[in-house]
Amino acid sequence: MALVELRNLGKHYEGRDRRRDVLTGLSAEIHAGEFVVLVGRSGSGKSTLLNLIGGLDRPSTGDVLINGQSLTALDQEALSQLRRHRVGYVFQFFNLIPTLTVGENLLLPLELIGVTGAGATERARRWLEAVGLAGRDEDYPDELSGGDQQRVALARALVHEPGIVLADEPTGNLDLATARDVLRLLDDLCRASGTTLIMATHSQEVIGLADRVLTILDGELVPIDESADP
Amino acid sequence: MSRLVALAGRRFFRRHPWHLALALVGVALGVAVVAGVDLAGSAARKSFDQSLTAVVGSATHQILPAGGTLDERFHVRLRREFGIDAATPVVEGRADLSSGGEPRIVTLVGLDPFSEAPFRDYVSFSADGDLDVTALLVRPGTVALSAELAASVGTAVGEFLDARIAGRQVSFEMVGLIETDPSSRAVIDDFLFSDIATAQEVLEMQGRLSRIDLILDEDQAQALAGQLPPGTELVATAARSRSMAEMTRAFRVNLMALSLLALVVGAFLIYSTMSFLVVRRHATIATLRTIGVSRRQLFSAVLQEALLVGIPGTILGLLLGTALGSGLTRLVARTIDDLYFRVHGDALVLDPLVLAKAAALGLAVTLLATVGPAAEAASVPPRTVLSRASLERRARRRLPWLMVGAGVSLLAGWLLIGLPTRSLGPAFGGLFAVIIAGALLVPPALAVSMAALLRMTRTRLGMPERMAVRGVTASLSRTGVASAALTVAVAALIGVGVMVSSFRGSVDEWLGATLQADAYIRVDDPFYSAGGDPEALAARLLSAAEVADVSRSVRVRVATGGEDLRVWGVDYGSGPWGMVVIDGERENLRADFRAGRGVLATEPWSRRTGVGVGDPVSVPTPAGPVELPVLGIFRDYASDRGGLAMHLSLYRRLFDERRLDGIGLLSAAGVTPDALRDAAARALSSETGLTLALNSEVREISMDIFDRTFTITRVLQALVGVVAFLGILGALQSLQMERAREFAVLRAVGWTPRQVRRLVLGQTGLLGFTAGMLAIPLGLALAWLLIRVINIRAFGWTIAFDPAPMNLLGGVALALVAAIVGGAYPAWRSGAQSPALDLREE
Repeated sequence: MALVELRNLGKHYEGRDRRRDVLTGLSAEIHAGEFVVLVGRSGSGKSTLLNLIGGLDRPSTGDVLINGQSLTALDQEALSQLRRHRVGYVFQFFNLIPTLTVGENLLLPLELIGVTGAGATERARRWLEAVGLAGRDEDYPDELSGGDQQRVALARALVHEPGIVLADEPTGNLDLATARDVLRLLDDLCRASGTTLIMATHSQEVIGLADRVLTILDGELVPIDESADP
Repeated sequence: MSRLVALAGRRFFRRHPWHLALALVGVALGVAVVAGVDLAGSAARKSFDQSLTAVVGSATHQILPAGGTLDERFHVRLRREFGIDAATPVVEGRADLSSGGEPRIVTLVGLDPFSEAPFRDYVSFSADGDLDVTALLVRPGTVALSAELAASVGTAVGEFLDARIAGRQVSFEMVGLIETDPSSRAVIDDFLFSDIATAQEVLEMQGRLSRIDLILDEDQAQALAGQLPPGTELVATAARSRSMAEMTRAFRVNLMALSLLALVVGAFLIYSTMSFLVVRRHATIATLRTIGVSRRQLFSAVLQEALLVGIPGTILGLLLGTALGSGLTRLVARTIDDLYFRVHGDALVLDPLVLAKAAALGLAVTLLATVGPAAEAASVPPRTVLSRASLERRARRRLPWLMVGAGVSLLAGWLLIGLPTRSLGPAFGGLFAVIIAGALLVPPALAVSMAALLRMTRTRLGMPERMAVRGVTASLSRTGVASAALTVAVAALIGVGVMVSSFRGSVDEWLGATLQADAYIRVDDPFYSAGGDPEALAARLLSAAEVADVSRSVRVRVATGGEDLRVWGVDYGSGPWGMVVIDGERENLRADFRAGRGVLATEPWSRRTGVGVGDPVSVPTPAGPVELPVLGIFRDYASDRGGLAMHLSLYRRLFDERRLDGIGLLSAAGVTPDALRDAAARALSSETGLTLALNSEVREISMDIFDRTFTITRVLQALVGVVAFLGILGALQSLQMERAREFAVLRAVGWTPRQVRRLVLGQTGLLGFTAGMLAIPLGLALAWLLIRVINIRAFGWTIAFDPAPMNLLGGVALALVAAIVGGAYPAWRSGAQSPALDLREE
């Protein structure tokens, strides 16, 4: 059974005078441990698709199934529970909680699933070490460079062992060298932990690392050669 | 509740102490005002209860005369015919112990030490103590008093004490000190105690009593009530206490409402601060939602943050409230003294119940004010892509709903105010509903007015000014809430200000219509008539060439149904009519009044009792109740209890006395006030116990008393002003500080610090001015409700609505000044701070 199943997924927004279709009739399956890259032009619907998979947004038509569980059947409380336990997020702008230290940012997802105390602290410490930031747990996010903040964000996305990591342009705000480091780190960490990674990106370099590339054009999934720019 | 989510909120406050301080001030001042006013009211109530307990002691009932005095033989009959042993006679009168310009008026109380024991333990026969009761009993002209009073008038046991009673000098021998428990000490400091015979002699009440105190069970009371002689009434002391409490209820409720208004303004500041914090942390909240923090958790996290403000703010408020209560207690005591009855002692009593109530109210209001922002936080979608623009679009989409909410709130207010009741609760509920409606209308009004301003000034404004105007609507999620808080605060100030100035204007006008004589002689001593012939005095004054005519008046308080009824006897002579008749005016009204065909009732009395023109009213007199028709209703701001007025000739027929309390002098043509005063002074040269004052002086004194009774209102108004000022200042400062990066970008693209300053001050000034202008209609609506609904229900007075421009302009000026002060620091900072730093800090 696929870990993530997209069934005839559609999403539209009601504009001031017309309806804007962002995704139409999109179907796909993503399996456990896969690294899938979503590519497409700006505004093609990549972020919307990630939001639908993570239960951050509701589809207009169709359904998303995680481990066979339909997300449209879940209420907000259940969706929160799903994100807590099954999903990790990495964003372009890091989105760390500015008033929590680096260590506390990592402890937060653990606390939400009931892991606290010394066990939680040890797990957070290990993940910080894994992203190369050992000893920075007392620092606040604004005391770190952009690349280091994104490393913390990677650790936060993985610390509670979610099964799926959704990454939305995680390198879009980083220089080339740092972006490359962060990408490799994310790939390594996900593969090592068997975590499914679904990433929306413009980066050609990522495509080389991915198991599969899904191209979105005008809201639909298309074979890779059709999506190529003339 | 996640510990780390809560920690993140706490740290936000630590990083933004200004927000914390602002919200703290809002809660603290609100709670302080509520606690202070309640403590002051509670102290006044306690003081009154102590006074009553000290004065009536263990008496359960009192027999009171319907005007005048009681025959002392009735006391003997009580024992012999009714078999009531627990009865003691009391004679009371005023004694003036003033010396060296220091006024000291006390009550001389004549008691019977033989029958006193069950009633008041401090004036009875006992072997020990400093009081020589035998001397008090057998030696005429002896008194006992408290150590404090003895010290204040400079006398000691064995020495003589000079007093002026009934216009004569009297010398008392002090034979002992009165000791009592601490709770009654303040009360007995205002009493001179003597044997009943001594009091009767010096007060010239031989054979008469002021009242008889009794200890009765219910059966005895019922049996006695049916057999009392005409002109007397049996009153339960508990009923009297209740009646006194009822008398001041409206006053206390109004004070409490004003203090709640301060709390409501504080609540708007809390709402504004918490909303601001939520809006500012939208991105963080969205991130928390993406990692699985549920709506419920966010809702409770924001409420918990509010408690971070609410708990210390409430504690601070209670401390401030205690200090404030100390000052307010004196003001409340003085106002109750002026308006209702003598309050002995004005010490603050720290009533734990009052403090607990204020604390609960402070926390409840904090939480209530945070429900909206907490719900807003919980509704933030878990999408970090939610842009500031979409946030503002959401705020604009809500505008029609805000108008619907305002309509619903107005409707609720209208229904509450229209309820067929005289109760103040629904009226205040309506008032607060109108405030909420006004607050909800502010954001739509702001959007409309800014759009109109832009249209009107499109080509005339510079870039910074245009951006300032656009910025108001572009940041409606922030500016709307800050402006609503500001509008409510200023409207509250305007409302109370217009109410007080309208009231003052009405009283001034009423005094002008009522005080028709050119000079007045007040008989200070109620027993003056015993020492002289008031009619002879009036005739003597009339014989002076400078005096064209005299008016004469007398007033008495009679007990009826456990409450005092004031009855006036008045004869205006040939002079103008000194009553403003508001109902029942007709051609022959004055003739009917002069002929004693009925009485005129004051407006508050008529409203309270529901007795109107043509209705019969039962007037208790020494000869028993007499039924008279109400000829008309007249305006009277002297007391909210009110009473009845009748022609002097009718009064004398009913009450069988020739006493006068006041004589008005009408000057002959061409006589100056000074000449009239000189002529009256000559005529009164041999008299004592009288005070002569010109019309202008009486008016001045009356307005002084008015101002004094409204001092407390003005103090509360000023406190609301302080809460408002700090709130406005803080809200606008936060608003601008949040835009530091935007200003840095403007600097980066070439704006000068001066241009940025114009933008900041232009926008805060614009917000202050707009909120001030929007506060005018809301403030006037509040004033109208205070005057036309609440005052009438509370006091029974009709007041002319007079929206003095000074009150309105004052409100707008306060908003404007606070807004500009609020913008001053961000404006200065935007010019002084390196733009690079602000760009990086984001």
